[in-house]
Formats: sequence, C-alpha cells, structure tokens
Amino acid sequence: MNKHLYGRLARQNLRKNFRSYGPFLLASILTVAMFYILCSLSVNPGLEGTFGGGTLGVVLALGTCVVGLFAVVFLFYTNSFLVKQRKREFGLFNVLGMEKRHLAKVIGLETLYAALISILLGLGTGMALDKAMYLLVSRLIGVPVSLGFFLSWKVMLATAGLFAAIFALIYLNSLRQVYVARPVELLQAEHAGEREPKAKWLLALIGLACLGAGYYISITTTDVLQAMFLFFVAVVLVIVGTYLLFTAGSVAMLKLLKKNRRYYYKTRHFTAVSGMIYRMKQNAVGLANICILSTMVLVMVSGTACLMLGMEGTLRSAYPYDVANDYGNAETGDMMRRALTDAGFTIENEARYTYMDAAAYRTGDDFSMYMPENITSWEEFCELFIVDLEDYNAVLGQSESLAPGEILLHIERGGAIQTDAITLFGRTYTIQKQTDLTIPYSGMLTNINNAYCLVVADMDELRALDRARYEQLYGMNTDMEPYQPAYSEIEMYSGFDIAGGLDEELRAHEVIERAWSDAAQEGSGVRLAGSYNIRGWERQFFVQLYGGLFFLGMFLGLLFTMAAILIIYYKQMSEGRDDRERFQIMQKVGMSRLEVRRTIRSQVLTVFFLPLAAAGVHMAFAFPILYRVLRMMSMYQTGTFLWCVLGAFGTFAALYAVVYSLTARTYYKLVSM
Amino acid sequence: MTILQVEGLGKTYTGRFGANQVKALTNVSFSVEQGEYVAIMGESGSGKTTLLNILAAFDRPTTGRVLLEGKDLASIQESELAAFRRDSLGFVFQDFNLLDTFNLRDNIFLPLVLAGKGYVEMAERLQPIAQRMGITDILNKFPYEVSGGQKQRAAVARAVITGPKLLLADEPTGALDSKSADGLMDLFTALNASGQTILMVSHSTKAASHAGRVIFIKDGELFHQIYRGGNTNEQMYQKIADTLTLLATGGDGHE
Repeated sequence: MNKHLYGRLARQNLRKNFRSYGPFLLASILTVAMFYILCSLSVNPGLEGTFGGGTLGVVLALGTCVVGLFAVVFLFYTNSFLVKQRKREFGLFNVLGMEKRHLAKVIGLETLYAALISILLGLGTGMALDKAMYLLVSRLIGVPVSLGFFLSWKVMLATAGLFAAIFALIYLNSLRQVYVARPVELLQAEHAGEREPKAKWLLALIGLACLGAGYYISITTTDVLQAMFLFFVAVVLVIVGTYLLFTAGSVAMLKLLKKNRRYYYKTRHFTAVSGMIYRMKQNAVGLANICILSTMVLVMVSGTACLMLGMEGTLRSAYPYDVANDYGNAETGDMMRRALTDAGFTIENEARYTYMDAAAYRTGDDFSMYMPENITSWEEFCELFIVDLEDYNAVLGQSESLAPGEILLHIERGGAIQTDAITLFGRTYTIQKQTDLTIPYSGMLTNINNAYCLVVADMDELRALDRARYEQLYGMNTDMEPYQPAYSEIEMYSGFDIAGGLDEELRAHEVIERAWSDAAQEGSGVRLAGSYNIRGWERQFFVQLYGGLFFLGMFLGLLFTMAAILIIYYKQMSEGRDDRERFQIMQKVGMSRLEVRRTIRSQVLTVFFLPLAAAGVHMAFAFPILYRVLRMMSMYQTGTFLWCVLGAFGTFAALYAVVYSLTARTYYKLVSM
Repeated sequence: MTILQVEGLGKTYTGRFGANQVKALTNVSFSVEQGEYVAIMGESGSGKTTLLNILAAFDRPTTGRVLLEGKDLASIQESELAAFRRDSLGFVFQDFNLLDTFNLRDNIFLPLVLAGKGYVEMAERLQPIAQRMGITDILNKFPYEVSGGQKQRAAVARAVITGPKLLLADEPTGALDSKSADGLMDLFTALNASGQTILMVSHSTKAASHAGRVIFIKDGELFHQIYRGGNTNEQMYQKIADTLTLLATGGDGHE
C-alpha cells in the first residue's frame, strides 16, 4: 500500500473523530502541561534557594509523582473509550481489505500524531504557564521573585519521556484490542446484545453497611489521634461502599421501583427506570470513579484551602506574642527584652507569667499521674496548664479573686466537667467558676491532646501542686530521687509584641539569635532557660508548607476535576450512540419530541448529578473526621473549614453544571440526529 | 366507509443548494375502506417507503393530501402528532423495533403507558391480544431471548393494543424465515377478519397474496391495482406474479 496513504488516513481519522478525539487531546495536552509545571517548580532554584525551600520542593515533588501516576491511569482509561467507539470503524477497514498490520500502522500513526500534538503543545502550554505559576507560588509563600525565565532540559526530557511511554502503552492496548478481535466482531462491537442485569441484594446490603460504617466512624470518632488512623479506615469503607452501591445497589433499587407497578407504568418513569437499569450496568463503575474522584477533589481543595486560610489564626494561637521566651526564666526574658530595646525596637505589649505545664491522666474528675487501668483512648491523656491568680489577673486585666483551695477552670479541649470539685495530683480543689478566658500560651494550646487551663489562688499553691505531681511519679518509680526544686515543672513565659510588621519581626529574629548566642557564652552572667520564638520567623515554615499544600491542592483539584469531567463526557457520548436507536423507536411508537427531550434530560441529569450528589453526601459525613484530622495540624477554626468545604463544593458544582449543559446539548444532538 | 383517502400525493426531495431534485412520488391517489386489507407492492426505490412515511405522518408531502377518517394529516399540529400517531395508527416494522431494555410485556405496553393508561386497564387489554398472538407464555421474556417470529408477533400486539384505525406494516415479513412469515400473514388475515384495517407495504409476493387488494407502484407513480374478488391465495399469488413480470418488462400501467 502507498506509504502516504497511512499518514493521510491517520490524519483524516483524527479530524473525523474530533468530537471524541478532541477532548482526549485537550486533556492530554493539559496533563502534560501540568506535569511539566509541577516538575519544573519542584526544581526551580528561585524557590529552592529560599528559606525552607526544601519543604516546598518535597511537597511539589510529591505532587509531581501523583500527577505522573494519575496521568498513566487517566490517559489509558479515557483512550479505552475511544478504542471501544472506533471498533466498528476498524472492522470496516478490515472488511474493506486492510490487513491487521495495516490497521496497526494506521493506528500507530494516529497515536504518534496524538502523542506529538499532546507533548509539543503540552510542553508549550507548560512553559508558557510555568512563569505564571512560579509567580503565584512565590507570592503565596512570600518569597522574593527572581526575574528571568527558568527552563530545564531535564524537566522537558522527563516530561516528554513519561508521556511518550504512556502513549506507547496506549498504542499497545489499542493493538491488543484490534488483534484479538475478528472483523465481524469488530463490526458488531457496538451491538453486543445485553442481558438485563440481576439485582444483587447481598452486595447492595454489604455496600450499604460499608458506607454506614464509614459514616459512623467519621461521626463518632472524637479522639484526635485515633482520627488519623480511622480516617483511612473510613475512606476505604466509603470507597468500597460507593462501588458496591453504585453497581449492585442502584440496580437493586431500580428493580424495586420496577416492581411497583403504580410507579413504573407512568410515562415519566417507564422509560427512565428500564433505561437506567442498563445504564447502571455499563456505567456504575465509571460513575463510582467520578464520585470518588469528586470527593477527593473536595477533600483536597477544602482541606488545603482551610489550612491556608486558617494559617494566621493557627499562628496566632501557636505564637500569641511576636517574640517570646518559652519554658524560660526571668533572666532570659530580661535579656531578650534588653536586646530588643537596645536594637531600637519599640515594645508595644508584653506579658510575663509563671506557669506549670504538666501531662496527666484524667479519669472523671480526677487528674493524676497514674495511668488508668484500662486506658481506652487518648482522650484520657491530657495536658494541664496552671497559673496563679496574680499573673492571670495581670495578663488578662481581670479582677478575679480566689479563696484558698478554689480554682478557675477553662476547658480548652476535652470533655465537660460537671462536678463542683476536681482532684489534681491528689489535691482536691473547688471549681469556683468555669471561664472562657485563658492566658495566651503557645505550646500546649496547639497540641493535639485535650487541654485544661487552671488558675490557682497563689504561687504557693502552684508550688505545692508541682511537688504533688512529682511525688505521684516518685511513688511509682522507686529509682527516682526525692523532690528537689530542679525537678520543678514551673517555668516562666515572657512575650513581647513589637511595633512594625513582618520585616521587623524578621529583624528581631536576627537580633535575638545573636543575643542568645552571646548569652550562651561562658561568663555572660545570664542563665539561659527555655527557647525563643519569633512569630514572623516561624511563619515562614507554615507558609512554605501550607502554601505548598494549598497550591498542590488547587492544582491537583483542577486536574482531577478535568478527569472527572472528561470521563463523564465520554460516558454520555458513548451512551448517546446507544440511545439513539431506542429513542427513534419510541418516537415511532408515539412518543413526542418533547417527551423524548424531557426523558433525555432527566436521564442525563440523573447520570450526571448522581455522582456529584453522592460526593456531597460523602463530604457532609466526612466533615467531622476531617475537622479532627485538621486539628492534628493545629487548625481549629470550624467556621473557616465549613466555608472552605462549601466554597469548594460550590465551585465544583458550578464547573460541573457548565459541563453538564454542554454535554446535554451534544448528547441531544447525537440522539435526535 | 372510507378510512384513508390519499389525493394527488407528490413528494420531491431537494438536494442541498437546490440541486438534484428527486421525485419520490408523483400524483398518487387511492383510498382504503374500513375493514380493508391493502398491500402496496413495488421494487426497491419505487417510493413505497416514502409513501408509508407520509401516511404515518413521519414525513410531509410536497403536494396533495392525506385524509384519515376525513381529517387532513397536514392540519395536525406538530405537538399533537405523537398522540395522534399513538391513538390512530399502529405500526409493524421489518426489524421489529422492539426495545431491548423492556421485556415483551412492557414493549407492548409502551404506547399505552405513553398515553397515560393505568396498569389494570393495560393488563385487561393485553390478555386477549397476547392470547391471539400466541405469546402469553413469553411475555416476561426479553426480545433477545425469543425468535424473530415471536418478536414480530409481539410487535403486532404492540401495534394493535391501542385499537388503531389503521395498521401500517412496513415489510413485516422481511426479516422472518418462511414459516414465521406464513404464521404472521395468517395472523394478519385473522386480524383483518375481525375488522382491523390494514395497509401493508411489501415486495414479497407471498405476503401480498394474503391481501384483499394489491396496489403496485413504479417509479413513484401508481401503476396498477388488483382486487382479490373471489380468488384464493394461490390464484392471487399468480395474478401478482404476472403483474410484477409486466412491471419489470416495462408495460404501461392501467387501472
């Protein structure tokens, strides 16, 4: 055969099948571009060189792996739709006298063209958007922007190599499909008769049980540490449940509807129910994929957005003051204050208090060092933050008063205390009042454990508590030495707010760092204690991590959304072809065009929005456990998270609706042609 | 009483840009009386299908008109057409046109469900028809589970369950083996005997020989028609065959 013929045929095929090939090409171009961008960002020296760039690099590199893996599965999967649709065409060529090796050549050239288009345009798009993304990330994480264009041959080669390999795999798969089939089968591939699916009640019930169990775990898990592990259990259960319910559950449900004659034999339900049974048989797995993909997008986008948006709040609760000496003493605090004022900083606000920070086990109203007999959850392990009344009133500007043996109680996290008195390390106190207020304190309040803040009457009481705590420990461990002041858990916190913004805080970091190392020298006369932290400095770590995650979340969210949309588009298109015949018959038997249109709309609507609705329900039930997982990452703002979830869902649904209207139109054209 | 009246029917298909005008039908006139069984014969491309499509209101004529019980099909609004077709006409197609997603019972119910009938009424109507078609035992089966002849009988049941004024059949035996075809034709004869008006398009001489009257079309024009009179099926067969020979050898038509 003429050499040029293959090329012409291949090009013609691509053009002719543009309606089905177009979206695939677009998707693969975008996938190539996204892979290139992520890969390029992860090695961009402009980001790498900056503070904490390592964190961001790792996050982005991880994202690159995800995109790469995803690209393999996604492109392979969508291509199989194309091959299935074109089997008939291949069969026709076969019957017209093209041998399979000729077909292989044509398909090979087609794949080659598709690969070239995808990789070249993808790289082009990637390079064009790379700079924009770089600017976005730089801005997000607040690093200075370096000028110029960053191009890496290695990244380009890696991208081209990966996608060339993927297309090679796709080609092999197409070949397999063509080679194993006989021409008649190829011609009839679209018309393979189908049996009505059977209702698998057991599987449907198992699916329901899995889903229920997953939801139950999410709602009932209150233990933060358990939440992390159980989250994955719940995810697996929900995924299994989703697949089973979409496949077995939907058919069982439809069969039930079919049994109900009053419902079934209505114009609106008659064709829809019976059509859906078949539709679910072919598409249940695809729809379940879309549902899970959508849920993933929602979780990822809302979670990372929430971390990012809540970052300032998280920082504020972790570092209540701009500059602080934690677990420190008066000398160290004074040294830091002096260093700041000597360097010309204006101290706008400062606080100093003495506190005791101790871990304990809570059993009902008893807090002690003794581990309960059968420890059932991490909830029972908690942290106690105790100050005396004088510091409390001074820092918070309150005028509370306490009689000896009385305390104020604030439950930061943990179960309510209903009793009037509690026992702390064997000493019993009357709760004078439970308050909403607590002294701003860094370490403990951002911890994952339950936390209780207490105010005792005076310093003596605090010391007595400290001693009592040690005694309890000492009682358990005979090899410990008797109590000495050096074993005290009583520390001092000094915090300073300085005038000026982030730049000042970073300058303060330099000043304190130098002063601290000077003070650490022999003979400085300062007895250093604890550690120092400067919020602006710590912020950079948060920004790198959360900014990186946020960027990745949005980026992957976009990719997954695109995937979900493409899958659903192909599903509808391939169904449109099957449905055309059915609707023609119905029109012949006396269904009006209006009714056809209405039926089509309701069917497309169902298929389209079923996964979205299911994703919405998943998301609603996932909310509690996700919130707890976020708590592990020191994120405590429920409101912010709720808004993030709603925002993510709204955006996703809007995108989805746009694609729906486009698809519905194409589908209707296909069916009514 | 005249149930169907076709007057001066013409249909011209115009190619794109007005080029290639193709005359599919020219000045076709005939009428069908209540209770008649009429077969329309002609070779492929003679305009049979176009005629049937116009009678079924799937297509509109370029000239002339079609009256069903005195009502001009052209006067029916597009929106009422589906309901009209559903209530007044029954269709039997060559390729059955049963829906794979329904079992035979639901396939037969389809026009009634579209008309908004309740289950009890539908079941009552179905029972005698199914018995007559001999498909009572296979009503729960799906189209892919039964033979061609059974499928076609189910399709006939679907066509007559609405009690149509006119049953239109387009090559009903075209996809059947000879035994099933004979069975179906006997069924048509029986249906006709019980008062059903039938208009069938076919190029099977055997099938047409069951009809009470055969109309021949050639190149879009009415060519000839023969009445059964007192003839047996065999005699009718012979007369049709003779006419077809005449048709093929190019004789002029006469009435």
